[in-house]
Amino acid sequence: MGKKSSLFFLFLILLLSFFLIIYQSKGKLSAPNFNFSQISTSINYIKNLIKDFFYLREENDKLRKQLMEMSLQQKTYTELIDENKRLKELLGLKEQRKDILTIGKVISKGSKKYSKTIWIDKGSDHGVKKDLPVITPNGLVGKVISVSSGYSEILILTDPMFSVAIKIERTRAEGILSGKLNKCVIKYLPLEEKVLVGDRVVTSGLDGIFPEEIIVGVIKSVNKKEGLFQIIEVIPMQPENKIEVVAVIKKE
Amino acid sequence: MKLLLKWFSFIILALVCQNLFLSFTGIKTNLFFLLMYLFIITYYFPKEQKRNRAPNEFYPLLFCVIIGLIEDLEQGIIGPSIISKSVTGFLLIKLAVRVFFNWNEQFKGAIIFIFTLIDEIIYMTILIYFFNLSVESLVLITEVLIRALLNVPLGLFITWGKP
Repeated sequence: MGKKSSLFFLFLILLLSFFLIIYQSKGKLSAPNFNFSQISTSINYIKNLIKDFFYLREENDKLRKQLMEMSLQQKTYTELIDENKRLKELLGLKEQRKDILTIGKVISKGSKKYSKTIWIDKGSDHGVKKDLPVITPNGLVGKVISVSSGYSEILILTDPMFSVAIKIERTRAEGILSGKLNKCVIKYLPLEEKVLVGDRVVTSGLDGIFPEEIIVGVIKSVNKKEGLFQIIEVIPMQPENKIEVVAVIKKE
Repeated sequence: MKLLLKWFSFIILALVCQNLFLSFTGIKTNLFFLLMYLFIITYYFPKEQKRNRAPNEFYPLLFCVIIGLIEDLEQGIIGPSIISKSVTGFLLIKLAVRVFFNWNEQFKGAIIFIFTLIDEIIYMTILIYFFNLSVESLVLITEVLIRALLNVPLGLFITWGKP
């Protein structure tokens, strides 16, 4: 096929196309519309899949962040509820006991290696003095050992240096309770005193530091095999790792 | 038959790529022109000269008409693309024959740009004149220019080293 024939072919095509266009523009003819829907559909499907993937990933990140924020918020709420409960208990204690000097919040634990102390946010400015007893609604916590203007250090009853005059609530038998780092023991309780596991231990007030009838703990075990006195293990009523708010009480 | 299948799959690929590009970027490309250009380049500058005869003008022109027809079928109006593609193809064929020894990359880039513009202008003119297409001229110019500019790197890529 020569150049002239290709030109003729072009001319023919153009002529035919123009006729078609004119007819279509006048609305006398409508062309079939192949929109290649299958290709478009599959492309759109892939496109949506990719779009969804990125959108879901973004949404997932957003939701995770939101969840974290919510759980932190919830934690704060729970903490506030707990604190509220503790403060209410202390308020109840304050109403029960007229000798409460101040209520303090535990701000840190003592840094001494073999000593069990805590620091509270109340000091001499709030009337806190050395040797004042410290309690919670659960029972005895310890005593004040050092005071600054805004802070006080409390020696808690599991500290080996701590001792308090006590009595067994049921039998009224008297003894001395001391700390043993992670537990408390009652010393100097004669062998003939009948003490049972589960008996409550309260302060006797004989040491001149702690007022009478403050709950100290519950007897965990009794050992009568050594020496002249019984060795009695006591579980403190106020667990040392759960002390958050305390009350400092006045000496009578 | 093999050749027919090859070009048919190229047409399908161009159609898919065009739709894919449109789906992702919202820009309509003119890959059919590139296909036409590739066909003409391959036709007039084969790797091996198989016959001692001058290449026929009819086949590339027929290819351009088919490409135009497919594009028209996709658009729903038969004619505009057949005209634009066949006229552009005819001019491209003439150019390929006349300036046989001057095909370097810069020249190819310029050819792709100018001929895409011609193709688009013919197509738009027909649509505006016969079908009262009312589009802002600035938008129209931008679209046409984008298509022409996009075709340059793509066209150079697919015909790199050819002829």
